[in-house]
Amino acid sequence: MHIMEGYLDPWWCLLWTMLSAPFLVYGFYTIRRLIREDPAQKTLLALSGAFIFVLSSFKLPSVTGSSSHPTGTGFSTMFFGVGVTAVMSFIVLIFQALLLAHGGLTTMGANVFSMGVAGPFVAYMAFKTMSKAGVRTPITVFTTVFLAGIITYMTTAVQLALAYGTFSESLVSFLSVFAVTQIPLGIVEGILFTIFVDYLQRARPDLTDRVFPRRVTDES
Amino acid sequence: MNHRHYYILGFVIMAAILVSAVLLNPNSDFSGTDDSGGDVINDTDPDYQPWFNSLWEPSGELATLLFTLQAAIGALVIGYFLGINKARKALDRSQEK
Repeated sequence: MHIMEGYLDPWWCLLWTMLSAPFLVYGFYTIRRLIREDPAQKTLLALSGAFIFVLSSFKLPSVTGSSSHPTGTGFSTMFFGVGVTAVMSFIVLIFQALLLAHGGLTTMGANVFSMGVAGPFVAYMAFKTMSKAGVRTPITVFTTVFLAGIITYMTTAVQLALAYGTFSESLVSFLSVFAVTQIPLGIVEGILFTIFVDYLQRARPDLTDRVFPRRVTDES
Repeated sequence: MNHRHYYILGFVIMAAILVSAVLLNPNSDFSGTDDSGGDVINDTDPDYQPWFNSLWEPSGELATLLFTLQAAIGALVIGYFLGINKARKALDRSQEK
């Protein structure tokens, strides 16, 4: 999902930066407010960031014969929504752009948009809808995490298709590179977070109650 | 099956997906999609010149180190959290007695 340094014309860089910026500002203030009002949220914020750090550092092999990064943004999305996830993504993308030549400063806006805004946005919509409809937690978690990753990669494909060649033709090429590779990795990531959220509900219901209300019929 | 069995099953499926990726592509070098994306750009628009270069690019070994550092920072936080929960549980139990 990292668009490489210098690979988007300045106009596109500007556009994506302008689209991402409001989410970053909103996310930044949300984090400040959360920490001030409810210090317990610090634990969840730290975990959200930590998962993005770990997972986005992995290049996992996919059945397509290439490898790709999970995004790790699903957890943050479920607990804090889009703004906070955008800030977390921004932090990790800065780290990768400056220290790893992975992604770039000029393409930062586009990369924050795909990883921190578009993916989390669609995933959050799905999460809210499924939670309201009373879908079982593991299915909700899996779907949300899967969407956060795959939509991020589809967004990257759209961003590149807009910038290069005929849109429809390039979109197919870019989607076949980014989205298809991501499917098995999205499943892996989905299972991981399904397990972690289940663990969290058992070990620390005080942290999960806000987002995953306990069901009355639940045993244990 | 209790939840622990489901956890184990989950980890087995995760491992199976990743291992099968390697087994199904014995000769692949698993190049990153970010680079393949760059290749598609070169195919679509062979004349494209990146207009900005990374300020600094680590060599291969350094890149590995820094990626590992990134993972270690995250893993440290998660491990710390898991440890706290474990200790809490033990403390609760000893107070109950």
